[in-house]
Parts: sequence; structure tokens; C-alpha cells
Amino acid sequence: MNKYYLILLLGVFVQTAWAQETQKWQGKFEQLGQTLPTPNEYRSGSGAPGPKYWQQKADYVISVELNDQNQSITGSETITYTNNSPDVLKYLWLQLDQNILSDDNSLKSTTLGAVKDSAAAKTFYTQVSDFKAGFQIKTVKDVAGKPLTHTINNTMMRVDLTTPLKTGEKISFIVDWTFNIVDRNLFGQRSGMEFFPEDNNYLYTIAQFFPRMCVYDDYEGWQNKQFLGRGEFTLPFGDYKVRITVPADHIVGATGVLKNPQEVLTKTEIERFEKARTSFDAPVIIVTQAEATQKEKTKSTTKKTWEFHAENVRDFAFASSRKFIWDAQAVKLGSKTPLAMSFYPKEGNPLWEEESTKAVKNTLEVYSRHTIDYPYPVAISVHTASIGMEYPMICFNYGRPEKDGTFTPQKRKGMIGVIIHEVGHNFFPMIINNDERQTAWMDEGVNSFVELLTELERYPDIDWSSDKPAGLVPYMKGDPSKKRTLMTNPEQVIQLGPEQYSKVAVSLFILRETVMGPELFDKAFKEYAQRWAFKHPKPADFFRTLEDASAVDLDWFWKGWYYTTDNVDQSIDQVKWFTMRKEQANLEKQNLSVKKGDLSANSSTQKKFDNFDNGPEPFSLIETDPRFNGEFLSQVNDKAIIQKLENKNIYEVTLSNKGGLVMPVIIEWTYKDGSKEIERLPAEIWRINETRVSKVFVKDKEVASLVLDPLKETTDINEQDNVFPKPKEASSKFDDFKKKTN
Amino acid sequence: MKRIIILVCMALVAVTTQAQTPVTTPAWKGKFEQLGETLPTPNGYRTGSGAPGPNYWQQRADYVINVEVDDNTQMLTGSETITYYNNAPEALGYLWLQLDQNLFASNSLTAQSRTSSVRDSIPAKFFAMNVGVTSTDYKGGYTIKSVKDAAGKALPYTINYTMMRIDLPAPLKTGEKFVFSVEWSFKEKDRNEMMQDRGGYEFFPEDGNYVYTFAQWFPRMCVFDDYEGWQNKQFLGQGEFALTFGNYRVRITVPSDHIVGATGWIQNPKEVLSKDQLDRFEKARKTFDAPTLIVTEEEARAKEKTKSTRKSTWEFYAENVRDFAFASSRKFIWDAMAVKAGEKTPLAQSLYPKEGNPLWGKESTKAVKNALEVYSERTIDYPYPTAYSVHTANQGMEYPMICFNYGRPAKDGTYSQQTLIGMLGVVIHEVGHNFFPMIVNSDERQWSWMDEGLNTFLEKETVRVRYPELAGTRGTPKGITGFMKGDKSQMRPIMSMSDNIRQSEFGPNAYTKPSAALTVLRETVMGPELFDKAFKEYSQRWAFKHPKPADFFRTMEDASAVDLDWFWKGWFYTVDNVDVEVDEVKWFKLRSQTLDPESKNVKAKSGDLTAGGKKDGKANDFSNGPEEFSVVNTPDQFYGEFKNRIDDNAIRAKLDGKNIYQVKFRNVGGLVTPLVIEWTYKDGSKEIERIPAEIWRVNETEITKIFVKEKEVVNIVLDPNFELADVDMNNNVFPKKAAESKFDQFKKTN
Repeated sequence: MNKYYLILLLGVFVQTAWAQETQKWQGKFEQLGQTLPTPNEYRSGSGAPGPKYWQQKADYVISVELNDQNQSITGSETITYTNNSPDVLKYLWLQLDQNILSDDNSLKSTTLGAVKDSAAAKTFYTQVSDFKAGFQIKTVKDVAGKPLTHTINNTMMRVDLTTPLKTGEKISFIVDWTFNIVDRNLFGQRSGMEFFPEDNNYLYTIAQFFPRMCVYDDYEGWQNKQFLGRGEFTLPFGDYKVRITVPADHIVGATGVLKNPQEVLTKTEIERFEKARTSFDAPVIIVTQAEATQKEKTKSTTKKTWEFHAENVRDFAFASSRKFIWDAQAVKLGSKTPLAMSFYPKEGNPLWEEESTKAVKNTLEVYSRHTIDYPYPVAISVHTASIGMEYPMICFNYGRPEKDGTFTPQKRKGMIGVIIHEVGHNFFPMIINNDERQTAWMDEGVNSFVELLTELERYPDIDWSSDKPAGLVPYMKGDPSKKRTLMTNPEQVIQLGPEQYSKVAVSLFILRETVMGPELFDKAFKEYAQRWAFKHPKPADFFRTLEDASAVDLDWFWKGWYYTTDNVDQSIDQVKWFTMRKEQANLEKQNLSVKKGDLSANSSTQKKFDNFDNGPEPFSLIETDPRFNGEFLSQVNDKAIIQKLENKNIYEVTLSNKGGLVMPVIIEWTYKDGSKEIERLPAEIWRINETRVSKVFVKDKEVASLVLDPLKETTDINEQDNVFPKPKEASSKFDDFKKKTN
Repeated sequence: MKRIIILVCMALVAVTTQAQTPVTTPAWKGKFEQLGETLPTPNGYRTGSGAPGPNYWQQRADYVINVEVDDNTQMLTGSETITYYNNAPEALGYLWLQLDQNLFASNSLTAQSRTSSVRDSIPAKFFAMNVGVTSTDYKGGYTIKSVKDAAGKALPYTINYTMMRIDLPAPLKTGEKFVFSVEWSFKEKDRNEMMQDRGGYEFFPEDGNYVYTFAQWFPRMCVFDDYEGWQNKQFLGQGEFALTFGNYRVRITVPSDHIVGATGWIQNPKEVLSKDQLDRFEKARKTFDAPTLIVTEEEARAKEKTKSTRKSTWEFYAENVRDFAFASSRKFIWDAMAVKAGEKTPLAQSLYPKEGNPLWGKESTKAVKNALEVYSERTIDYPYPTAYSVHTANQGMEYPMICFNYGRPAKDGTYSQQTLIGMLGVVIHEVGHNFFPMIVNSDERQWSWMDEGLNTFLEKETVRVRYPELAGTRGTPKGITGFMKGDKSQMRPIMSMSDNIRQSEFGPNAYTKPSAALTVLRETVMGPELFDKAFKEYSQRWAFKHPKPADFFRTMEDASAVDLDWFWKGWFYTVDNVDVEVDEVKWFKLRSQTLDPESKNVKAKSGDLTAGGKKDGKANDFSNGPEEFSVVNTPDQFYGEFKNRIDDNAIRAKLDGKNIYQVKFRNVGGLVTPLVIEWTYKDGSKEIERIPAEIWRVNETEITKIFVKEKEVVNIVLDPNFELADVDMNNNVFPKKAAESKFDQFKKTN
């Protein structure tokens, strides 16, 4: 292009439309470029898995026994590891998550603390406890029984292979271990046990209970970053066959499908179970409260072994207790009919029998629509005090009524929220299997977003407003030095809630509702889910896919929301009201000329524009000088333009971006006749000047007031500067408030 | 490292030759560090040498288009069948097409995000453009009538402003092709009213006829590549096009007295041309020395009055092009001549209304020829069969084999030198775009400089070689200093996305600054031989492919063995400028008694080699005469264990009587640059000394260097030929007083 000619001419006029930048240009609309990894044959520029994308596979055959007397686990596993990578592997890394509580681990030694007077004794518990935690690894051997060299580094174990494992090859090896089950409440763990003193029984939620393979991938090599407690798990897919031996009167819920119901269930239980599998409208109770309460007293001393199989999962967890009530119902999703189930002690009722399985069903339905049809055969919600924690097909959720069975609406809301969230984790990260150790927002944040969509759609009776953009304002307003970007590793984050959950959820909510619109967003989001289901996505794969599938440039959005701690604070700096001078219709008056560079011919434009009280400023349009048409022979019809603008109210609005985040501008115009109009301008309005812009609006009616972000959809942290004219009573109200508080 | 002993000894002395850095010296910025992670990591698609990698691939889109222009309503109605070949190693679930006409729809992203303000007494046209009001009720944008597969079944599609996504019934696998068709229409517009239009028409009220230039007139495939996936970034008006190569067969129906010029070679001349025209056309194809008129001015004038109501259909075919445009009018005069470009003999053609004459008849086709010849020499032989230059007021705009160029004489046919220079420049520039980006097919939406900048550079070279008497400073180092000395806080680096560059800076940023940078590279940093070889290498590697900035940066180094990372870093990634100050010059002579090596009492303290007494006084000129200094025998410890000794006496003898100048240079502008120093001696003779930019590699802000001269120096000038783009010549001279007067003289004479 070579459009100098017009540009030079136009320059004289448009130059003035650009306010001088008040701060250095930061390239907020530049592409992310090298901030993202260069696409390659493993991960393509479109955000899809590349032609040479590969991932490892780890299959497990596990036998494990839960000792209800001394609350310990003894297990043995045969892992078959398939090397699909183009590399030769000389060693394998396994995760020993239980070691996070052993005496010498790096979590303990790096935990910060200060002594306070009158501190609760419990806060010192972990410092003084005699509890022996951590894996006791008894053997690591090959299938011929030959020991394999292994090195344990805190929560990681390296197993040296006797011969390097080549591309396409498999190796099987055996690990035997034991560990003591932790009291979850005392140690603040994701799994363990709860003891019920009244009836002397335990409720076990067992997870990270076996040495698990680390992920080896194209981007990280081995992801063997130590488990410090916050950064969760990074796990390869595989098939699991797990035999769990527990007291004979326990009910076990686990990842996978129960393979031997005949051996572990009563005839009645089996009948009810079969009925549940075809019951789509309401849950069927398989173990009743009366039956569970009865078992609490008898306490069987014999054992039974439950066998579960799960295909293409990244982990395995289970829950076991004689206290469990059990209900289930079938859910229809496209061609699939998974079973939604709940396990809970009587302490969870009546809330749980009313809400749990229903919430599982709602989650599977809404998530399947936004991502992929739930591919697993079951989804279980287990009642466990004070925690929400997710595993494939099974999760542990809080929400316990008072002793008398009553519960507050807040309790119900929390319980429904956590179940949707944890069941939702089946999609992120269990199926769309991101690296939680490094990037928690990819599952927590993305999942919190779909959780919010589910809640708004299925529980309209509950007030979810604090999860919407307005609810994030207090955080966004907060001290910048206490904030970390979303791209920060979770171990280094200060405010985990907003920075891995709610800020992400709100940002995606804004993306869907305000930036892209539901149609483009939903298509692109589903594309991401489909591309990366049963694979390992990275942040760039998400960022790129959302753009690629929608043709909405989002680099500015990711940059601002994910790579900075800026906030949204737009303000209306000034509104000028103009109308065209009457005599302007008379174009023959050629003597109207202005000096070059001083186009504000009217001197009274110096006055302040705090409100509309002074009426409109008159201004004139002149006929376009022939030199502005250059060589062009057809001329623009100036008269027609002037006619179109006659009697119009023309508003020049000057906005500034104080918070740093560039965002769409949403203006609500209220006209003198009381009618309103909402006008939406894309974020691209800030692409040349990131801090200050002005724009002219031509309106038929006279405007009485303007409000920015009227529906509170952008997390603008300061509403005071979003209105024009400035409300007079606002300041007096503030004064009143000051008086009262002082 | 084995050389520690010597180095340590040397350090005692050498350290002192480094300028003592004042407290205000900015922190080291690593200006000579390699670009490293600033560039994408090379991989199987794009190699570390800057060449296409072993697994490089690109998509292909073939078009068969039927289009009709209604001269009464200015409506364009078209239907196309696109065959899209997926050469990517991945399956595609959807395709993206560009609907560029939607830029002119009233709710376009561009209209919504346009900023504006009210000024009194502003011309109506400009105010209207800024606030989105038009004088007519013109409704821009495409009407998409159908999107169907080869069997005629409707395909689902989504339109997002200027982009349209078509969801495929089944994923398109590697190596497969997909055939589909689109039908559309839109109303063409008066280009004068639509600032950002590149197509449009001009209406000639005197004879009631139109000149049409149709561009971005059909739904076009987006590029899908290894780096971006789909390049579906919205068209906002400034960032131009990213397009896929393919073959085009286009049938254009227009009034039968129109002459049509288009991308490609005419397939049915017998159906649309008269016998006379055919004969002249054939003659033109064999005439290499001057253009042959195919339609004369007289014939064109006659048609202006008769205005045929019948229609004709012109068919064009083009191979391996990234786009298709055409111009149509009954006003067109038409001339053509054959050009020799290596083995090939493309036809240079021009179309222009009588309003372009006599300028166009004289200059247009000749300029096309000059452009093809010089560009072919510097890049690759022009591979297409033809190159048109079409006269269109107020704009220069490029398409494969055809471009639209301004340059109109006054009504009486006279024209100024300025009009001539402008017209030649724009014709060469737009014809030159055939090479960048039409053949070396960069992503214009993202990087304007890759085509505009490289092209402006070769445009300038063509003018310099073929029209030396008309050559100006556009695109030269001297020409860019005015821009580069501006307020840095308001500037964007060249490596900014096209749409984020402010309009007032777009010319320098995308065109003349990169051109000036390449000129510095060619003339001063690399030299013409190394530069031209490397530049040609880049063109050859990336002809008919899609290069990215790193491919250019890497190839220029790879083919020349000149480390250029510092250059790309400074010129392309920052807004720094070249401003070197000749800060201090000291004149020394060897003390004569030091010739007596036996007088051992002459000692210099280490770290204070300026033994002379007047060392504190900063000399502004040479009037104080030289300072004396001594060169002592090299102490034994400097030799370490080494047995043989240097002959200190011989060294002293060589320095005896010499004028020794210690010059301190300060880097004020930030860009590291080679130094070009002109020494003027007392006897009036001059010498130009060239020092590579690497002189700044250890200290980026201040350096001191010793020069040993036979003759006495009276004057030093840095960048005497304005080849470094130094933005401030005032501080380039010594003695400083003389500098100012010289500069004043310079100002007066220019």
C-alpha cells in the first residue's frame, strides 16, 4: 500500500484526535509472539495437537488392603509403562505424594510461620505430632523379581532402567509399599480418614495412595517438580485394574467400574443397583440410611475384596466406610448413559440424599454440552467434611447439616457449588489433562468458569452474583504488591482463590458475555475441549485455540488478564456537547477559514464540561477544500453531510484507562425523554492510545447522562468516575458517610 | 582458557584505555547479545539458517470465479468455486475466509473502534469520515447468498465481522482437498469518500463515466500456517493481507466497450478485442524498445460518448498467485511492451484514462519495465507473464500482476516535477510489490514492514539506478533523521503490529525507516556485495512461500557472515536513533627524550598515561598544540615466562613524529552504529576512515580510540556523507566551533 497522499492531508486533522499518550506505550495489542512457545510439530500454531504429538501411557494393576485397625494401607502394583516419545529413556520418575508429610520433606522445612499469643493448639499439631507419615517403599523390582535401582528425592522416586527404554517399547515393574493413613483434618490433606467418635467408625477417602508415574512430555521432559502441597498433579493416562480389600461391611466407591458386584454386594443391593442404571429421573437408594446405621454398630471383622477397572484415566482414588449410604441414577448424554452416584454417612442427610446425585447429574449435562460428552461410566460424589477434592470419576465434597439435620441456605449453596466444581474436574484436568503442578488455572480456573455456567443455568434460585465479574472487584482493587499474575506457578501465589480460580472464571465469563459473545466463545471453547480431550494441553494451546476457532484477536486479553496484575478502571474524563451552527447550512459563505493547526476556532471551548447545564457548544463544518480531493474528480457532497448532521446532538466523550487493562467500552446513554440505549465499543478502541481516547457520537435525542459499564460486567473497580454528569448527591452522600464514621 | 597470564598483565594497561564510565552511564543493555529467544525457536518448518525447513508446508487455494459488474448500479455480483488443498500435517475441522468488504459495513470493528473529536470549522468530509457519516445512504459490506459444498449442499458458516468460518462436514485430512462454492454481491463505492478503500470507483462528471478498480472483491481464503494456525485476525483497514497461493480462472462480465486489466493472462482475446487491438497486442509482445498503443486516446474518447449497453465477458487465468484484482473502464487507453527478465519476457502494460495523459503515455509502461528489470536483478527473475500499471487518482495499491497508481497532470496536461517524481515512485513501488509480498509472500496483517519496507528499499534503489536525476532522500538514512529524532516516548518500533501503529507514523515505520535501515546495511555495514548476495538469497529461499521476520533476519546473517543481531535489535525492536557525539579529541606527540631508552627515569604512573601537565583542560580545538607523552620500555613482568622480547626502540621509532589522536565518542541516541570519520589534514587533503559497529560491543555508550596519523589534523567530521542516519550533525564535528559554522553553511546551501 502506498496511501501517503491522503494520509498526509488527513494527518493535519486526525492528529488532533489523538490525545498525547500519558504513559509509555506498552504494546498492549501486540501479539504474544515469543511470550508463547514457538509452535512445532508437537503443538501447532492453531493451538491443536501437532502431527507428531505424542504422550506416554502407564497401566496399573494394583492390590491394596486397607487396615481398619491401625489405619494403614499396604499395596503392591505392577506398572506397565509405554514409551511413545521419540526419545530413549534411561530412567523413570514416580511420584511419592505421601512423602509430603514425612519428617524430612521440603514442604515442612519451607513452611513459614510466626508465633502469636493465644494461638490455637491445633496450629502446632504438625510440629509436635508423632505420626509417622510417608511411603515405606518395600521393593522396586522388575517382573522377573530382580530389584531395580531407585533413588528417592522427597516426593519423587527415580527408577533406573537396566536397559534404556526405546520408542514404542514397554516396560513392566513392581513396587510394594505401605503407609499410615493420615487424619485429614489435623494435617490438612486431600485424603485420609475422618473418625466419628459417637459410633467409633472411620470414613476413608484414599488418594495419592500408590507410587504414580510422572508425566514425560515434549515440553518439560519429566515433570518431576516436587510436590509442595499446593501445585497439584501431573499424570499420564492409562488403564487401571485395582483390587481393594476392606472390612466386609464397608461400601467402596472408586474410580472405575465395579467388576465383581456378586462378591461384594448383597442380592438386594445388586437389584437396586441395576434399577438405578435405568432410572433417569431420580436417584435410587442402594444402601439405605437404616442399613448403614445398623452396620455402624455391628462392625464386621471379615474382609472382602472389591475390584474396579478404569480405562484411560490419569489417576485412581477410592472411598470406603461401613457408614456409607449409597444412591445412584442414570444420566442421558448423547449416546452415553453414565451413572451418577453418591456415598455419604448419615451425618450428611437429609441434604445429601436431596442434592448430591442431582448436582452430579446437572454437572455432567451442562459440562458435556460445553465440552465433550462425559466419556466415563460413573461419576461419584462422596461426602467428606471440610474439603472438596477431585479424582477421575470420584470426588470428595463438603456440606454437612447441623446435628438436628437442619442446614442454612448458605450451606446448601456451598455444597452444591463444591459438588459441581469437583465433578466438573472430571473434564478439567482429568480428561483435558493439563499440568496442574505448573499451571493450576488451566483446571481450577477453567473449571470454576464452567461451574458458574452450570450454577446459573441449573440453580437460578440461588444467588451466584458474587461469582460474577462484580464479585471480583474487591480483589482487583487490592494491593498490587500482594498480587501475582495468573501465569504464576501455584506454589508462588499469594491469593490462591482469586489467582487460580475466580479471576480466571470471571475473565472467561467476560470473554463469553462481553468480548466474544456466547456463540463464538462456546464454539471455540468446545473446540479446545475436543482437541485436548485425553491429551496434555499447555496454556498456549488454550490461548491459540480460542482465537483460531473464533477469529477474535485475543492476545490483548490474555496479555492483560493472564500476564499482568492490572485492573479495569475506565473513567469518563469529559463530555462535550455540540450542535452545528445554523448558518452552516449556507455553504456559500466561503470566508469561514481557520488557521492550520488551530482548528478550535471557538475560544469559548476553554470552559469546563462538568455537566450539560451550559447547553451545546456551536461548531461549524466547512466545505472540503478541493485540494483534499487530490486528483479525484468525483467530489464528496458536503451539503449532504451537513444536512445529515443538522439538529443532531453531537457528543465528544473522552475516556481514560486508569487501571491498565484494555477492555471494551460499554456506555449507557440516558436521554432527556427518559429512554436509554446501551452502546458497546470493542477493546480495539485502545489499540493506538492505550490510556486516553476520545470519540464523537451523533445522537438524535438530547442526552441527560452517561454511565460506563452499567451492567457491571467488566470488573471496573471504581464506579465513581464512570458517570457523567458527576452526581452531585454522590459527594454529599460520601460526606455524610464520612461524618457518620468519624 | 590458556591465555590468562598475558591477559592479566595486559589488563593493567588496557583497562585504562576503556573510558571511565561516568555515574550517569545507562546500564549495559546487551546490544550485541544475540536475539536468542526474541526470535521463534527454529524447528522442522523453519530452520536456524532462515530457510524453509525440511518439513515446511503451505496451503493452496484454487479459484474459479464468475463476476459481473453493473455499470448502472455499481453492483458487483459473483460466484466462486474454491478448491482448498490441505497440505498441513494436521486435519482441519473448519476453514476461514476473509470478507474484506465488511470493513465498510456500518457496524464494522473499525467504525466502532475509531476515535475522533470535534473541532470547529473542520471540512465536512473529514468530520464525516471520523464519526462514520456518509453523504449518501451507501450500505457497504458483502451480502453472502450461499455457501455450498460440491454437491450443492449448504454448508454451515459463521460470520465474525471480516472473517467467515465454514464448518466442514468431515475433518479435511492431510493431502486432501475440499471443493465448495460461495455466491455474493456488494455495492462498489466512491473511493474518495471511503478513506480505507483500496478498490472502489472514480466518477468523471464531465463525461459521465466510471473507472473501476476492484480489489478484495471476493471471499478469499485465510492463510493457515505453521506459526499462526489460521491467520484470521480481523481486517481493520491498516494491516493488509495474508493470502494463500493458488491458480485463478476468472470470467469478468462488463459493458462491451470496457477495457479490462487483471491479474493473469487474457484467455479469450478474440472474443473481447477488435482485430486492430489484437494485432497491436501481438505486436507489443514482440516490441522491447518502446510501448505499443493497443487502444489510443482517440479511440477511448470516442467510447466515452457512445456508452455501449451490451456486455462482454473477459477471461483471465493466473497461476500461483495470492490474489486477484481487476480494473475496468471504457475510458482506458492501453499500451504495452515486452521486457526481458532473464529467460522470461513478461509484458509491461498500462491502462489510463485521457486524464492521465500525456504523463502516462510517456512514463507508465517504461517505469514498469524499469521496476521489473532492477527488482529481477536483486531478487528473482519476474516469474509472471505480465505486469499492469493502472491510473487511479490518489492512491497506489498493489495486486499480483496489476496495481493502481496515482499521478494526474493538471487539466491542461502540464505537470510539475513533483507530480512526475510521485508518479514514477508510486508505479515502481506498486509494481515492485509483485516481489514483496505477492511472490515473497509475507503476512501483511501482522508485519507491514516485510513488504512495504523491503519494497521501499528496492523502489529507492530502482529510482537511484534508473532515474538518478530524480532521486531524493525518501527511504535513505538522511531522509529518516527527521522522523527518528522525534519524541521516542510516542514512537513504536518497526516490529509492531500494523494496526497498532499510529497513522501519522505508519509511513516511516512501515516504509521509509526499514528502507533507510536496509540502506545503512547495504552501504555501510555489510557493503553492496555481501548485502546483495544475502538479500537475493532471502528472495530465492522465500519466493512463493510465506516468510516471517526471523527468516529474513536469519538469512541476511546466514548468507553473509555478518553478525547483525545488534542491528535488528536496535533498528527493528527499539525506537532508539543514531546520534554519536565526538565528545573529546586529544592530540599527542611522543616526547623526544624518550627515544633515549637509557634514561630510565622517565616513568609513567600506571593508570595515568597522560603524562602531560595540561590533561585537565578539555580541548575544544587543536589550538593548544599536541601534548607530549612518553612510551617506556615494556617491563619484564608483561612477558611472563616468555623469553623473546619486543623491540621497544623500533616501536618508539615508528611513533616518533606522528600525530596521535585520542578520540572519545559518546552514543547519545542509543543505536550502536559503525563510525564513518572524515579527517581533514592541514594540507587540505581528506581521508575517510570506517570503523565497524563492534567498536561499541563492550561499552555501548562511550568509547575512546587512538588514531596514529602522519599528518596534522585540522578537522574531524563524523558521518560526512549522511549514511548513518545520525540525527544530530551538530555534535559530529571537531573542532566544535568550526562544526557549527560548517553546519550553518550546510543549512544555507540546502
